[in-house]
Amino acid sequence: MRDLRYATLMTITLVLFFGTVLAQCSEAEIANCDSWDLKAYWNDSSNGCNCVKDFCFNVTCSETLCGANNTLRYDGTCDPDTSECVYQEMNCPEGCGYANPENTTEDYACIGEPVNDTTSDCIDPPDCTPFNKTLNETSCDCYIPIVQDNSTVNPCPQAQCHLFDNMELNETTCTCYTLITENNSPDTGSGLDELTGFITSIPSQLGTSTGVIVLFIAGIIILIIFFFTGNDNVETEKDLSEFDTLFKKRKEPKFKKKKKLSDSQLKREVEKKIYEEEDLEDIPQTDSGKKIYGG
Amino acid sequence: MVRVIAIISGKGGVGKTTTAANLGVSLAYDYHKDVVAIDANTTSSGLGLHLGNYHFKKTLNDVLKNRINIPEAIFNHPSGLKFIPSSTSINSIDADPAGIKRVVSHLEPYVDIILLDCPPTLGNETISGVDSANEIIIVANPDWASLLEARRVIDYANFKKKKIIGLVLNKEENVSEEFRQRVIDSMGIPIIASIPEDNAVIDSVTKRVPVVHLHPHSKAAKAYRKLIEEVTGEQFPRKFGIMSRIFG
Repeated sequence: MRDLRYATLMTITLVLFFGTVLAQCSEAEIANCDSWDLKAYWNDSSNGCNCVKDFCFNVTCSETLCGANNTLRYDGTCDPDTSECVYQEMNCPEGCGYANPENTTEDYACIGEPVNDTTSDCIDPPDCTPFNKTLNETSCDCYIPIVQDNSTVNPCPQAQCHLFDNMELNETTCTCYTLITENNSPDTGSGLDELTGFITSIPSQLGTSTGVIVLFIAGIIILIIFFFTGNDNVETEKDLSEFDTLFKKRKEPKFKKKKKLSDSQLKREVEKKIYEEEDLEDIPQTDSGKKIYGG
Repeated sequence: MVRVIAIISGKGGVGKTTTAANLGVSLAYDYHKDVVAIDANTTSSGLGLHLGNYHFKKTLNDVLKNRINIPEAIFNHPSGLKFIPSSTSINSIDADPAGIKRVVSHLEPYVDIILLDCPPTLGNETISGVDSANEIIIVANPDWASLLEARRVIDYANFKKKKIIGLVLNKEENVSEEFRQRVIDSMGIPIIASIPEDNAVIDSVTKRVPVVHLHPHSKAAKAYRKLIEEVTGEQFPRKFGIMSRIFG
């Protein structure tokens, strides 16, 4: 009777042992799946080894240490359905993200760009150094700093006297004056001076009243010519001014630190926006747009 | 199943964004579909300009950089189209386009169609756009430089087993039937629309209203309507005959 009990116990143990061992994919089966970039998977229902697509195959979830938004991401795990890495997140400890990469806190290092740099109001400012530029704290853009060399500094930058013949700069008054040379030819005046002289001499040449009438008619003709030929130029100016306005608007908003929404909260928010158009900001329209769509 | 359509090309300046803008407003306004257009071009965006405005305070780049949540970057076009713009600033060009897939999957349950206006070339943004989409529209001009690059993106889309709706041959002028046949043969996909070179398109970009609505009687608008019919498989709901021209 005792032997029978031992025998039964041994049988159960052996069945359980071999059952466990057999209920796994063999090395050959695993290698076969590997060769297809697939994962070996023991299917209990069919009691066999299957190859299944491993969405996390070759996906390494890198631990992004204190990076953008001053967020520390850790414990990255691959989602087998989407192959995306899912991280735990927490705020970086104080001092992280600053220029000193050796600043470590407990068991993780603080790396990444300075995000809370007290010298800058810009969130995640661009790295201007590769371009030899400097960060503009107001616009958060890079600009080329103007380095002034005092030895060659121009005291009157507005006066571009060198552009004119025989002109020199008077550094005290910042005006240009004509160099008087021995071979200086008599000043004949500019074309504009000649035209002004001609126009002002018309009344005296024709008699005052006739001259005034001639000037009046000429003025009207000039206005008509300007009206009919100037449209294109006006249009061009309008377009250019529009572009000017567009580019002046290019000021980056400053974002307050945002509470990260959970997946379900985010879905609710999207649903609200899409269906109820809650707080949905309209795209500003041009006059043509307003005419067509109204509003 | 929601349709996620990526509009891509190999070469730049062929008319992807114009196509995306016209498709988007027309699907929303004329077909009454729930459509979200995403400017997936995070480094050189332009779709906003076609829809009325160039600079947006909140953009896809901010979403990808986890500065804001997705709903904050959704804007409303008066046509009914929802729109997520991209940034025009250099401050956010390092946004990781891999996150576009996450944005698309969050929007999918709520809309009929998602349009992705992808950048030229096969960079990370385009790859992310193609990966997020289930259908592709290729845009090219009738020149071999543009078509050669288009062929490369077609190969990529095929490799990714994506459904290619067809090729939009944009800025087409005096193209022979023989040339068109050679294009079809070499690309291996059908030409679903031929958009003619038309000043109405230039005017519409200047006025920032898509040509299908700004100049509905123009040759280009007519061609875009044909494209939209191809994409939806439905007849255009409005007629644009002489009578509508007279009576508006």
